[in-house]
Amino acid sequence: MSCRGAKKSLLDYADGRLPEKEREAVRLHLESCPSCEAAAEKLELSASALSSTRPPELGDAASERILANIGREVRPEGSRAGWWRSQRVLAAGAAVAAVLVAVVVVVGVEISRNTGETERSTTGAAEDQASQSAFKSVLPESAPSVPAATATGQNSGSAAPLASVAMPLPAVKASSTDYDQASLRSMVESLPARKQYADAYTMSDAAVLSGTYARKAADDFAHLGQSGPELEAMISYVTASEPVLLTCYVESALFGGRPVWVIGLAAPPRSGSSVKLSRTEVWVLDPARFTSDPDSSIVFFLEYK
Amino acid sequence: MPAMNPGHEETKESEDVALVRRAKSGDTTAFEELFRRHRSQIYSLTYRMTGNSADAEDLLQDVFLTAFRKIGSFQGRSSFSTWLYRVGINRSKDFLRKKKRAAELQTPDDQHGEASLEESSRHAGAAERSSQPEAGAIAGEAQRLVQEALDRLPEGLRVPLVLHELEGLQYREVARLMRLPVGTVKSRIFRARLQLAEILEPHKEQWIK
Repeated sequence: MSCRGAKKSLLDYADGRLPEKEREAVRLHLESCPSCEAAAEKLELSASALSSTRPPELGDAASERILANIGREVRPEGSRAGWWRSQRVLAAGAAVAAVLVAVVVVVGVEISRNTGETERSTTGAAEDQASQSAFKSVLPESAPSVPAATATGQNSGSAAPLASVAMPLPAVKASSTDYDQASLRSMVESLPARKQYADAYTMSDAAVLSGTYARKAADDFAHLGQSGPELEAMISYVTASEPVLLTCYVESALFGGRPVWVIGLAAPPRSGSSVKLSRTEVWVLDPARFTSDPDSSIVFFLEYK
Repeated sequence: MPAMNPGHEETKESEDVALVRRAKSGDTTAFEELFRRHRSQIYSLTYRMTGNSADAEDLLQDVFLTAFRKIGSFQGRSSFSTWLYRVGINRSKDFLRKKKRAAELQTPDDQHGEASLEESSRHAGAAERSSQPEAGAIAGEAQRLVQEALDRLPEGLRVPLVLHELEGLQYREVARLMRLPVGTVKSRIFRARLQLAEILEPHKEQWIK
């Protein structure tokens, strides 16, 4: 093992989070490398020091005093009325916008949808298997309804009756592609799901559908002979505390020779007013390490804004 | 902050969602409840960032006032807890910059002048009004040494270290909070741990027998 390789693992080594085989490899390197050995000792010292600390406690009196101060700031007569007024204006504006959207839907304005297949074969892979998670004509139970496109994709211009249309679902595959950072970026950049999800879904859809789509991806993954429950746990782990991430892509592949699971998530921008799922997060995790230490299973991360 | 089981976390988040909705419509009691639910989490952060209870309490108040003023802009793009942490980190950074700037502006003569008197009396007043003096909040020489070492870390290293090692946030959560790649978070924590150890080296017998 080189110093570079050892340094990548030193933090996990010092914290006792490496699998036995990797731990042994690092230990052997440390025996012959004073520099890395010194770094490992420092990491162990800081681990001991940090683990010895106790959380600071906020006293009840201080807490009540702070709450009282906050109350005085947020409840003064004039500003509270003003704050109420501005909130009502915002609420009224939102209500008007909702009515306008409803009117547009009722007159049957078409939204064109991409109805192509979602499965992609990997470049240069000889033994790809892929699940057929193509567009469905039946929506998932909780998915939002949208107006139908005609068979020719043309806007009929008439008040056609509403019907469910295809909505993009997670693309799930297993491949033997051995990605590196550059090839993974290239794959993600050309991933159709990114535009499909941005066009089809909003933040509200993500909040409703995130669990359903994670389960769908896990079911499809299981049909490929992979562990569906573990994938679902992994998605739950990377989306925890983030209620508006929608699973759009899953691939069992290799990364630098290591078996990994690649998870693509569509999300709204972190700030601003847009609610479209135009941001993409791509997480690469090592399933062999996920169960014992989820944190250490993160191999790589990409984000496209 | 220890990791909670997923079911418990989801319940807490959905309760927060309901409280935030009420707070956004002007229900100040809902906001007060949000304070009670999250004060310990944010106080721990502000204490680790400031190093003393007086500043930590002031900063805690500042964080929640900022959160109240900005709650209209909270759109649920993240959990309320994450959003509040982000407010806490930003306000902590502002506080540290102001403090650093104030220290830079002080000349040696000023140390006995008005500015330092104000600082001393503020801390003395804070010590009186704080119901839990330093020893109650964090006791022991070893813990004092750790906090002093943390105070000496640059904020770019201190924040991810505090969030991950002391607040218990996982790498992915820290990465999201700080809007950094996970790899960058890991490498900053690595460097922070090395620097912390170098600062604590003269006292290492406190932890390594």
